[in-house]
Amino acid sequence: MTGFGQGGIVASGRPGDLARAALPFLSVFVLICVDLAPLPSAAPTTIAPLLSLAAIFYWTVQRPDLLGNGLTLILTLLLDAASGMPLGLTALALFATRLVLLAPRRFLSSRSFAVLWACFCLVAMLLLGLRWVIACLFWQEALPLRPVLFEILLTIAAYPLVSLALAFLLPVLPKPSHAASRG
Amino acid sequence: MKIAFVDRFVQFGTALRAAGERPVLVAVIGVAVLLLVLVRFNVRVIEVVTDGIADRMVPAVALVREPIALTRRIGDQIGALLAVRAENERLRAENRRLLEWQSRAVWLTVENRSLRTMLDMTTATPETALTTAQIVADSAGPFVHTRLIDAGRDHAIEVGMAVLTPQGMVGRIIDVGARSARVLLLTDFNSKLPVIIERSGDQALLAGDNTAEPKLQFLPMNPRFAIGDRVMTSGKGGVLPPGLMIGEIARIDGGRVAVRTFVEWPTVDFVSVLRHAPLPAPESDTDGGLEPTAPELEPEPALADQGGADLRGIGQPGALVGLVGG
Repeated sequence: MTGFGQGGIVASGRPGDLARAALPFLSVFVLICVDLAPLPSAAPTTIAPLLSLAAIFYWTVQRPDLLGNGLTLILTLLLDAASGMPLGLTALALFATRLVLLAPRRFLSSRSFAVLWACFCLVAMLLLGLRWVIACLFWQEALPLRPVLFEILLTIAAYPLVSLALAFLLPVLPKPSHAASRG
Repeated sequence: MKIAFVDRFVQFGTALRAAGERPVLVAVIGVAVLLLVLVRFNVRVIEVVTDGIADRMVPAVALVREPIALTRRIGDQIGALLAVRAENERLRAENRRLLEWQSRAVWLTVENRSLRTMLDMTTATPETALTTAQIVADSAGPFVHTRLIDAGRDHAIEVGMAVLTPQGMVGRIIDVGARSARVLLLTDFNSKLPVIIERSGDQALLAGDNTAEPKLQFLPMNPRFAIGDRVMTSGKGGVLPPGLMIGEIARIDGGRVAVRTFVEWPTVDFVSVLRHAPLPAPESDTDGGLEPTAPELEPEPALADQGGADLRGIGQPGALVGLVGG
């Protein structure tokens, strides 16, 4: 139930701080819109990277105080509702992955980009694979696996670009206060 | 007052964090599972919430897609300019072919009318109209083959209506919000449509399987179709009108018959929703007459504003084939 505002940002009550603290949420929201934007494709469905997932991972590692579980739940529900997937599908896969990777998260925050990218590979495989399993169970249908594998590869490949773009926002964000330590 | 409320919410969050993140994650997972169960049992509230969210997301997604669409339009324009000579030749050849078809269609219409007169057959058909909409959102994943369009209840769109492009049928409406609607593509594994094969007259069910080529199911014992035969809606069940072009038989591999859809997926940007009222149930025919009454469609405001765009004639048999035929 953490979110932007925790650790004194809201308590300070300054609208400027609030707006800047909302940037991680807004950036993920914009990337959800990009994920949903139809791309020209020769197939009925476009296999594209899930940019919003890369952004959620980035903020979870860099500033978990500004994008907590509550806001992440809202964002994943928005993604599911707008993309026509069952409400809760992405949220379930994402939070189950978080639960599995809870212990290594402290280890992640201080590592180099290469280590973070490697960890993101693991997260993307686990999360999107889990989402495929849940979807198969939900519809009781063996859905094709190949598009999911392509989606995983594309999402992993897109991570450097997403993290590079989001890194520009880091200096603008309010400084983490004592109470909002990484967790 | 508002800040105090937010502070209290933050304190609650901090208290939860103090208890450790694991219980919070378990609680959120519980919420997600509960939502999935509610969706599975088609709880109405969830549908309303989902449609509401999709409605509100449409402007934001439309804003983001605009630069992508602009880039695509510029690319298309450059491509069209470079290929203008070849395109002109192609259009001349197509025009010659269409003129031949036109004379054949006129002859068939006359013959059809005279045969109907001889049989004393009714010519009343349900009225239809088209609403044009833009595709604003993709399905953002490989599990569902759906599209979100920017027309909904406000444009008289209803669940079950067919969605078309000039090449052929794309899918049908499965969810409707006030200003948006979701289209289930023919290729989605949840899509099942009664179809007829044009040349042989064989009837079957076209079932999507999340690949680019849906399959024919429940074929007759001795089917007479061949590769290249055209597939169109049969109108069985009265939900969709007959004669909507879908595609052609691409492969026959043992018991599996794959259909290649006519829709050119890379160019699908605008679609037409066929506002065709389903046939009334026999019980509702209170006067007991043989003459079926055509259900009335509310005039769609946008069409009326554009000078009426009289598209009601497309309900005539054969006209729909012409409308979306390859």
